[in-house]
Amino acid sequence: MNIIRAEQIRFQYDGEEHPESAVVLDGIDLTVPKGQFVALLGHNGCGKSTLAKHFNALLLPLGGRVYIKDIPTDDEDKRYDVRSTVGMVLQNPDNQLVSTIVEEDVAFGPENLGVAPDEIRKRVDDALRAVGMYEYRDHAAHKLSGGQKQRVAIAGVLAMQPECIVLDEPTAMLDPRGRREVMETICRLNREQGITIVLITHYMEEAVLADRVVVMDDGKIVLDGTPRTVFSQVDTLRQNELDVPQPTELCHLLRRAGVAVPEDVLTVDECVDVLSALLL
Amino acid sequence: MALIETRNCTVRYSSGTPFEKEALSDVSVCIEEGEFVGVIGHTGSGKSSFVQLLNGLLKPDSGTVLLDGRDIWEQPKDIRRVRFEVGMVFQYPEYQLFEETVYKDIAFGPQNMGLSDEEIRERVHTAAKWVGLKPELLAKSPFELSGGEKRRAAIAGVMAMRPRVLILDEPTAGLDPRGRDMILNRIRAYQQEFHTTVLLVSHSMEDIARVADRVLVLNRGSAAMLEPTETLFSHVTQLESMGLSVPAVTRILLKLRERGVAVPDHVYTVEDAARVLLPLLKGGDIHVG
Amino acid sequence: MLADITFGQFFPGNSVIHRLDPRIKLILTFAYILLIFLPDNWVGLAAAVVFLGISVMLSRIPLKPVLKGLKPVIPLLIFTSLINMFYVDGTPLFSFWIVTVTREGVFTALFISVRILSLIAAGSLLTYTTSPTTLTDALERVLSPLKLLHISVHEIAMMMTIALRFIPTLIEETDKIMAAQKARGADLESGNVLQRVRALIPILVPLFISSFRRAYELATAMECRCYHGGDGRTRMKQLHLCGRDYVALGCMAAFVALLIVSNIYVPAMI
Repeated sequence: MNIIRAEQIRFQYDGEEHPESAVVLDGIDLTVPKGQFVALLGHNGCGKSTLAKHFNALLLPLGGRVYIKDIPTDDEDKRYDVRSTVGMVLQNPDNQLVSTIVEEDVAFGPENLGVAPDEIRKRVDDALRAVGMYEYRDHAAHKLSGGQKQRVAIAGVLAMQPECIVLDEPTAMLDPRGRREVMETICRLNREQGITIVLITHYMEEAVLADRVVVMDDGKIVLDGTPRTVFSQVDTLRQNELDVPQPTELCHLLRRAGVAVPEDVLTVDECVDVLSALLL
Repeated sequence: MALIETRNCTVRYSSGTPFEKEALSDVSVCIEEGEFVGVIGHTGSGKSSFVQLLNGLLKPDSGTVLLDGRDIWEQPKDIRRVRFEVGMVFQYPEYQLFEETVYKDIAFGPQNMGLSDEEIRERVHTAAKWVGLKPELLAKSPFELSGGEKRRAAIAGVMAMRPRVLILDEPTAGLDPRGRDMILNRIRAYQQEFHTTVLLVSHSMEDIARVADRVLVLNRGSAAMLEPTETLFSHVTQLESMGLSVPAVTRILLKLRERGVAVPDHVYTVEDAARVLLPLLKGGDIHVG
Repeated sequence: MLADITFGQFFPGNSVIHRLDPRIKLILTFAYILLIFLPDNWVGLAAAVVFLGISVMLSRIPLKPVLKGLKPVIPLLIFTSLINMFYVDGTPLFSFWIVTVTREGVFTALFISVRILSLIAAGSLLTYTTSPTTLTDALERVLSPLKLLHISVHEIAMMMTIALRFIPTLIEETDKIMAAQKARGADLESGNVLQRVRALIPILVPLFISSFRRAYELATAMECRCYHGGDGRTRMKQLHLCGRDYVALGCMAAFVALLIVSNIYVPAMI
């Protein structure tokens, strides 16, 4: 079953607010099946954040349609069904926590949905346990580290019991430790709870963890496939000014110099295996 | 003589309260004129305190900070002059833009230095050129610029003061690869042209490996290492024990060495790795473009 | 540094007063603040002070912060006391030069001072023993009947919640901006008033812009989490009145009765 189905969507921002705006989304077709972990790449301004905002009806397409589990996002009566099915985590951890106390913040979503108090309590505790922040439930949100704040934000979305979580550069403002914490949490939710993940990122080592990588440029999808097939297109990625994982890039350079190494090497260990087979 | 030096510097927060915490303990570091030094360490290692010590935004609780061999706190009233010599670009500097035009914002520092209008104009244009801002952007409001342009305008604001030491605290944080490469390349080019001493604080070993001559590693408030970039990455286990990761190519070559392949232990860029591996793989010297 | 400012001073604790239902605390404090103006005799006034004293003792809040909170009003007290002593007519106690101090004047000054001090102490006791979020929550519930008058009680409470959440963030941000502008040679410490006000522009402008940016992002985040105002909203934390709340209400009732009786039977002093 597909969680997200975008059909030929087109979008551009209002001419008055953004005088120099061009078409931001230019006929995007994308379906995301349930349980998939998709990484969405592209340089700033390629339209990936705008696309993400279409997945929970923050924006409505000017042309084409987006369906969330067969509900069209322009159906106003079902808006909260869409938003509780597809939760969204934003980049800046400081600007998405509403309450001073961690557990009160996590309760915010279910409270808005009118869930019964006992059920909210249960959901909040479960969500905080799932992101490993249960011990911090009565702490002040502003005193947490960036990675912890971001995990609380994920818990806040989880408490609405979504089937899909869209994360818009959730690690961009974090240090390496915070980044690791958040990525581990995302992978665990995908693996253990079967939650569909759409992750927007600039970090290739994060994209490598996904089931599928989609590369966007200029409002269009330019590459779509497994990390292995996408990252082997080193030249296309370079044209789009994106990074390539270092092991892949090393093998690419060696291939170009005439060494017979495969082009779809992704990880350090694979690269070491390939090279030591040739050298030893 | 070192250009800037800390001698046994200790910085405490909330001194005299139960929350007292040592941010830096007994740090002695010497930085030479014209060096490009990378500063690395995870959150809470004292990186930010260290760089704020150098331009007098923080005063050491004990120890001295020397610029050209003179204690910067000798005349506390003159600390502003030290700040002009030791320029500092903070994290997310685009959030500090405030003027009506980009030109006026870049001119803020030079104006505070009391320079003539002509001198200011020359400096603003030069700084804008160095960070790659087109001259027509100078008349615009800083808030009309794109994210990457704002960041570069803010960096130009510090460059325009022509500091002898330029400190940048995570100048590439939150940028996409294109914006990151642009900024690192511009800073490197500026440093080579003006022989400015540059300190670049970063979480990214890959960034530091690309630009720095020497690397200062801070760990729990102490200076754990200060080494040329080539030799730093041979201490993989030590770096990893401090919660720092080494570039993936360094790990690849290290694992090859463990398996008995004769490769050097100080390779840290993809191009260098290809350069050392190719002769071994093809049995001859081949040029890599 | 700005970061050292503690806001909405709250002393976490587990005393009876801390555990009272915040709605009851809010109502009782409000009632007390009104009732403190009722007694016109020493019995009633003493009862009011004792009632407050017992509450402070029960809260186990150290006396020092409570007294410290009273300090700022002392100049005001001295001023009103002097005015009252000199201008209230009645039996003269003594006089010098052109002023006469009357017996009634002294009593009035005394009563007003005690009233103002008790009023402030009672208010501080409420904020010292109730966390800001709990207080906002209680305020929303206590004021909810005002919805009938088309006053947006929920929205006001939500604004207070968000303000409390963002105050520490903005204080931190102000610190950062100040450091950054100082690094560019901004001079915040010297000059005349006009120069100093002008020196604040490089700090205030970025601060405003960043507040708007944060507000915009927060609004998006709230929308993502299905926020649509107070209608149909539930709360995780339910408030239930229990034994100690009824005891507190009983004490208050007894206190009111005592005030009324003393006002009738004890001769008025002012």
